[in-house]
Amino acid sequence: MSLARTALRLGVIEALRSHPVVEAMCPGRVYDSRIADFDHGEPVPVIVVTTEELAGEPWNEQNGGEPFNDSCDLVLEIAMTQLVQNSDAAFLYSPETDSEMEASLDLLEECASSIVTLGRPTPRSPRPTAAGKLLMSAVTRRVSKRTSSRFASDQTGEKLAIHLLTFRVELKGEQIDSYEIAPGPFGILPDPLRTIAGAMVEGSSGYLTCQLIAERLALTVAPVAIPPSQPVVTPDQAPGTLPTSFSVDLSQVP
Amino acid sequence: MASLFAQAWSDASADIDAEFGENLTLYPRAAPTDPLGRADPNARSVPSMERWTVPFVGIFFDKGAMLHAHGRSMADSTTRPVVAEKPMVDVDRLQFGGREPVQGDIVLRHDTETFYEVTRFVVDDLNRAWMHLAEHRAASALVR
Repeated sequence: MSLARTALRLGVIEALRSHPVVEAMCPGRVYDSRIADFDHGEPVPVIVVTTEELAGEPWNEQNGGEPFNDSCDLVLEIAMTQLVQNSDAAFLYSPETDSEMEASLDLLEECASSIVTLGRPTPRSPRPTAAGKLLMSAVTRRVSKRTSSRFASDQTGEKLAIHLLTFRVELKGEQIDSYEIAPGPFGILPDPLRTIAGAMVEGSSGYLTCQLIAERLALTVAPVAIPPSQPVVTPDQAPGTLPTSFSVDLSQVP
Repeated sequence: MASLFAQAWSDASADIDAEFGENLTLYPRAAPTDPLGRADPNARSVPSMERWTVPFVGIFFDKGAMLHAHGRSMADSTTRPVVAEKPMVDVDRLQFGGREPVQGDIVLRHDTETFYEVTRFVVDDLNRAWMHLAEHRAASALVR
């Protein structure tokens, strides 16, 4: 289900931001599906969260169709340049050597991997963060594969390194037991997006995105005029008295 | 001391803008903060508090092209191409007083009353730069 991908991205961004090291190194720089190129002048490091290839076999092999056992590639692009710090910049961490920059990217990768796959800041952390726990319990069933690739360049006049971290995430779907719509402003949304939307801070970009989807989906349950399947019965003009005559519209007799 | 060539180019740059340039306005934008006070780069942008609106002159290029959306590990031909203009503006960087445009800023082209979003600001030589733009139909509501 593609809205599970939306839930995955929103959940992962909140989980990453709940990690103290990620939030300290990339405050306000965890992007959702960013299309624009990296700019050499922008603060670093930057994390771009995207969801890419999705594939799944139907749970019911005989009948096919929904629901599917979906797995999705969750891609984190962690980028960093070595910048000369000037008076306007407020970089919390500015690596001065290639080794330091690579270590910074490794550190971010380690933190991201732990929070996305375990829900905890480090494997030794006794408790998950609230957002990490929500991601684990509502969105992901398990992470079955992880790959990491490194890209580097100094052709732009600045040293740039990117770590491309890909997780194969098996997604949770929705167990539909009835046609009832769940209560609340996001009741129309399918799980896991409904659970994620309910945990979003009201007024945040994630909340507004979920609200936009809910408004569109509400069109699917809007009342529509249905033509009557039975003959229209006119009310009895003189109740309590027997009719002296009656007629049957033959076109309505099966 | 600037070279004679740099001085000559500086004079020519103003002449070229006067001859071919048109009026544009830059509306700097920034990421808002969410209700918890955290910067939210995925939200709709708000006017920047650190940079101000700048009227400027630039030479507008709007050459059509056939472009492909890119996918990782996929040939460009996987999806069908889009035929579109590829708007760019050649500008003198000194007009911005050191606070140059960044990705996400909005540009108004006065001739056509069209709004664009800055996608790249690529510095060229001799204080000129290429500002790459993407059409932004909802921007008029953001800046007015």
